[in-house]
Amino acid sequence: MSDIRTVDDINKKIKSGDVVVVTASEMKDIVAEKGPEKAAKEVDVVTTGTFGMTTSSGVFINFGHSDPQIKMGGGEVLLNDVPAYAGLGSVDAYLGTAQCSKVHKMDYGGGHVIEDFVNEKSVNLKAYGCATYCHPTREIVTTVTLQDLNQAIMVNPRAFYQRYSAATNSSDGLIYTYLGALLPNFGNVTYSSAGAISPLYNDPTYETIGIGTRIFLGGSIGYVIGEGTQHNPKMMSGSLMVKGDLKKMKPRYLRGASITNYGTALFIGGGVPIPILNAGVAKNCGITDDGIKANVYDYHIATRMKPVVKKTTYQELKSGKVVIGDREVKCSGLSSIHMAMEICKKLKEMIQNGEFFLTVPVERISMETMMKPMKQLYIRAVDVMSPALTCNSEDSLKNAEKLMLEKKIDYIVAVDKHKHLQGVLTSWDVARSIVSGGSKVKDVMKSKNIVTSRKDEPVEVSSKKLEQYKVRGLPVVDDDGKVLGVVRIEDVRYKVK
Amino acid sequence: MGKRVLILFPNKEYRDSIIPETVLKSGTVFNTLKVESTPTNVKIMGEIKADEEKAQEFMRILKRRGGIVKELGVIMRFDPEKCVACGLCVSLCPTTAILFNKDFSVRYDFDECILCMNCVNNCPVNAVSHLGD
Repeated sequence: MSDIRTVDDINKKIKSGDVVVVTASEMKDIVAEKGPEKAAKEVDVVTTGTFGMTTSSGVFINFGHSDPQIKMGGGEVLLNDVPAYAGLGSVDAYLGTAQCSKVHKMDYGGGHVIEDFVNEKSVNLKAYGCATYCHPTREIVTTVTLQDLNQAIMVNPRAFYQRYSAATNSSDGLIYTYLGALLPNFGNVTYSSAGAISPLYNDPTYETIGIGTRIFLGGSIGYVIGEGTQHNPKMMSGSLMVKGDLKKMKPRYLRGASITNYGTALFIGGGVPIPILNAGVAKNCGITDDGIKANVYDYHIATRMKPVVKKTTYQELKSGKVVIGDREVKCSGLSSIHMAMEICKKLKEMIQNGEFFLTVPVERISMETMMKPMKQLYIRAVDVMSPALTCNSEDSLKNAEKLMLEKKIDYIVAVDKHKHLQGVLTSWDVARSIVSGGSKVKDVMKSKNIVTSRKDEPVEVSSKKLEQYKVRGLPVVDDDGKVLGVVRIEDVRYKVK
Repeated sequence: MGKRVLILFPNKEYRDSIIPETVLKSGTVFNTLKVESTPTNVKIMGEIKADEEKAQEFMRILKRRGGIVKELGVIMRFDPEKCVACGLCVSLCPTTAILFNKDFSVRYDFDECILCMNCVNNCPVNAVSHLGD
């Protein structure tokens, strides 16, 4: 599509004061009403914003040299008892937001230290280094404020993350996840994105956002410095790596956060201006919440691949109610939509007032990057299981009991002739049959709600199931439901490190 | 809105039937929010839903039977300055005490609160707090 204006044209208009800037939510209406061609002619810039909780962010700090000098590099650096990474130069450190305090644990972390810095509070610095000839000081205990630091450069390896999945909980207990507390029995749904006003949804092809793009970060100006970690643009879950100057940031847009029983993080506000270079860019900015799909996953399952409970859209998520099965479940986010809208407006004002100029990216962001799972050596359920002692549900109970006694195993799996699971019979069921009667295995065996283990499931998950459901064993089944063996408590106990 | 009260009974005075009897006698509706039983006393937190006269009668009867009744003022506090409007508490609230405004800021209505403490325990920025009994 041919460009109708360049970034330079827009910057000239910003200088002269007749630039047309609209927020992302205003742009949706314009595109819906007038179509992308007309919208592109009318609008110069669209401002997008997000205010989400990030764990992949932090600040590079240079403390300045002490006298005599200290070599913190390779030593230890603690800021308000939160450890910072010190494997750098002699007085450099990187403070990550997810790092918890050594004293307050999950209630205070790197994110809170950053918040304290921006609020101009003094922060306790404890540093330990190994003494060398030119750096003889071993230990420093002092307080520092943001003004005392030479540099405090925020570098966020994963910012503006396009999509976190939505979460719910099928179990009958409360669970705590990175998406907040999840109430039992599908009690609530949580998600974390501003949806259609968040930056990367408005430029999914990275036509205008690239390396060098000037952005709004934490109340001040920042820059995109490349693709972010876990960047996966093809699956609509891209991310950007960004940097900004912490010294210029505003407390309103930076908040330390602690997620109960999960850890600490940082709420950070960011916004990206999108220059409307042509009708294609305008069309992309017209995306609405009902066009953004999201899956609700069951976070009770602690494996990487979680079962999808429901396929939904951001329109339903943002409405506050999600229908799961036949009932409405309350739904809310961890990413502030209120603040995201405020950032869109703030950035719009900055551009209108001539305080913010747009940039042409130096290089484009890759559209090819894929996200792979970790290469890992783990013990699977099939690796530890013992062969299953099997019978048929039509067999007589006497035979099954005999089998148990002969093999000295109190857990029998009933299967049909294709080896498909029918039920399980334990010595307890046999004991019960004395009272309840029954001559066949099927009369006494447990045949409903049997807890099983998938064949490639990590053994940690199997052992968690054994503990949680208080069962003696788990039949290991493959994808077709064929029984391959049994994971019993004994197998887990002796074979797992 | 009802009147929030905290009722304290020494164990030797307390009978399980005290509250139902008082409810019948005074003709009020009493909504129990929290019961705590310790080796020395029983603590009941609840809400009287009736007009002022009946509520006073309810409290009088309880006092006569050996209880200590304390009216509770605002026992929850929401700090809109601290709130970042992430909305996590909205879906955790079992009642309609926490709702989104049209502009996605968060609104608290403590009249509806049943003191489940979900919001207090889970707020990432400690914007909502319980001021104690």
